Amino acid sequence: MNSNDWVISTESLSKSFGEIHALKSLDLRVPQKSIFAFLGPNGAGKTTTIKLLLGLLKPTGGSGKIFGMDIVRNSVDIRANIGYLPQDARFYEHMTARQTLEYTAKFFYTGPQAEIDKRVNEMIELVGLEGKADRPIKGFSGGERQRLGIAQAEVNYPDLLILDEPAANLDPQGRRDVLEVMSRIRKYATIFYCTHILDDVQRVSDQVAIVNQGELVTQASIEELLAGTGELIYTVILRGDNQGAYTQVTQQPWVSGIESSQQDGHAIWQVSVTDEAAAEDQLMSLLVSSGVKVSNFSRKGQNLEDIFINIVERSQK
Amino acid sequence: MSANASGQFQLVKEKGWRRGLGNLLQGEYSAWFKSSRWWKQLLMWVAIINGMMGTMIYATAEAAKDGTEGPPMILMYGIFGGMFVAVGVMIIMQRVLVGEKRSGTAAWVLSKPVTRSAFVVSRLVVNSIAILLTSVIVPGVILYITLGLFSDLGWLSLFGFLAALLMFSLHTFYWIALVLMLGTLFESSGAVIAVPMALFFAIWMGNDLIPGLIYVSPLLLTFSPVPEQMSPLSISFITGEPVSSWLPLIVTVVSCVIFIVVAVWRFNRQEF
Repeated sequence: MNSNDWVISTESLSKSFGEIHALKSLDLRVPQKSIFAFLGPNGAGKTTTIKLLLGLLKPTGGSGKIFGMDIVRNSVDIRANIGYLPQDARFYEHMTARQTLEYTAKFFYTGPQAEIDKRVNEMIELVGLEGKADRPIKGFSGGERQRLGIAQAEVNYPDLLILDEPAANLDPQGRRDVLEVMSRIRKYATIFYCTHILDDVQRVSDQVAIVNQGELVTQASIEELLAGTGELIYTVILRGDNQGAYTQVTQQPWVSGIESSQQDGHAIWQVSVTDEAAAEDQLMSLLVSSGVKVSNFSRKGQNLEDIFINIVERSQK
Repeated sequence: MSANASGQFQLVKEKGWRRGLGNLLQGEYSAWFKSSRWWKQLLMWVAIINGMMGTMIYATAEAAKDGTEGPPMILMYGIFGGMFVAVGVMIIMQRVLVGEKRSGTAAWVLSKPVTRSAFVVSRLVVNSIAILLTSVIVPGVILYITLGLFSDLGWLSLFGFLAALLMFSLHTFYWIALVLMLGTLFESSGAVIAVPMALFFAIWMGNDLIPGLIYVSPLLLTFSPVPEQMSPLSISFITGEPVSSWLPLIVTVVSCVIFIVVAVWRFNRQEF
């Protein structure tokens, strides 16, 4: 990929607030038309990164480009092609949702008014605010504000949509709607978003970056990340004396470790293996031949949450 | 599907520092004039300025019946239209930038294709027009008519009265620009209101400590804390007396320019 293929690229981008280093030398590459999840625990530097990209904060060091334009020098031109949903979206309380969308649209278009009205209506429908479009925002719930936030971010059909916690404050149905909207938009735009809901990331994202304590810990496609180190875990539940079985299993070269616990007189093992084929062929027969009763045998699916926690914990050590 | 690819739309053409200014002005205008805000402000200032001045006209007429001298009406207008409005401006304007910074609406607007200079200018222009209209121009016009119809002063020189209104407007604008600048320097409304309040009373009361201070103060455009030493410019214009010093006018204009430049400079360096 050459540099023009990246919608967002940063080189050693950093930001300090006095003695606090909120972001340390971030090198990020966001490909075109991707749904890019930017993950990290609270205070990791996610929102700081977004604000640097939008020109709301000025970098202490390094540089960044969006659409090939410098995030400091060309900030206004960049913002003309971006839609942004802030983490805690705040709008003018005296305006209605319709007025807010019209106000937002007019930062991009001067007319014709009929087209602007049409776009505003389309956005209201997109986020399901039809019944509340003409009420002042003052009375909106957190979820309704969030929906309005998504609508105003999309009102200019941006090339890049930056969403800071898009599913926050939403009920399960709202969350599902947001994911649907994101999936629909991906045909036309790149989506760069932060979230804490890792299930959603696994469902819609193609690329993931994890930051912790202001540093990029990893960046990979969702498949690469889920494949992880190639290690698999089998969960087995056993009855009876399992000492012999334990010794036999741990001696196998494809077994990297066993975590054992007890529950209701049963032993629960989490067997980590490095060779899936060998494990499929031999693990069960080893257990049975050693004389233990196997009441459950299953392969534990790798999920993003486990991977995320592992990566973050490892980066803190 | 991008903004630029939306063929049927007319794209915003503003360039340079004016990018987004038109929409920002429109938004701020709507906040003032498409809501109840403008008429509530107007009602309040008419009640304060014209109500007080009506009382003065009545008191003067009553005093005349008794053969005594009534209150100095024009001087009192300087106090109501100058001092009262200045304090009102501090209260109205203190939330303009600080409130937007604290609520997060400034960050939201600045995430759109607008310049920070346009943001500050839009707040300055629309708030100035709205405040001047509701607290200076309309009450001033009502007063002019009231004085002509009901007071012994009769119809004052229109040119002189308009020049006086210009002084009231400049004085009010001075406090608008100052509070706006302070809104870019501080993050709390308390500081934004306390500093001009302190400055106002320091100029007013500080004449004994620093005798020259009053001669360079914007207060002298509308009223004089030491009327025996110097007449305010507005009164000189209304009564036709010669202006004793143009210095307060020059200082006020220069101060306003400095306040605006600092406000724009500082806002461009702020982080959200």
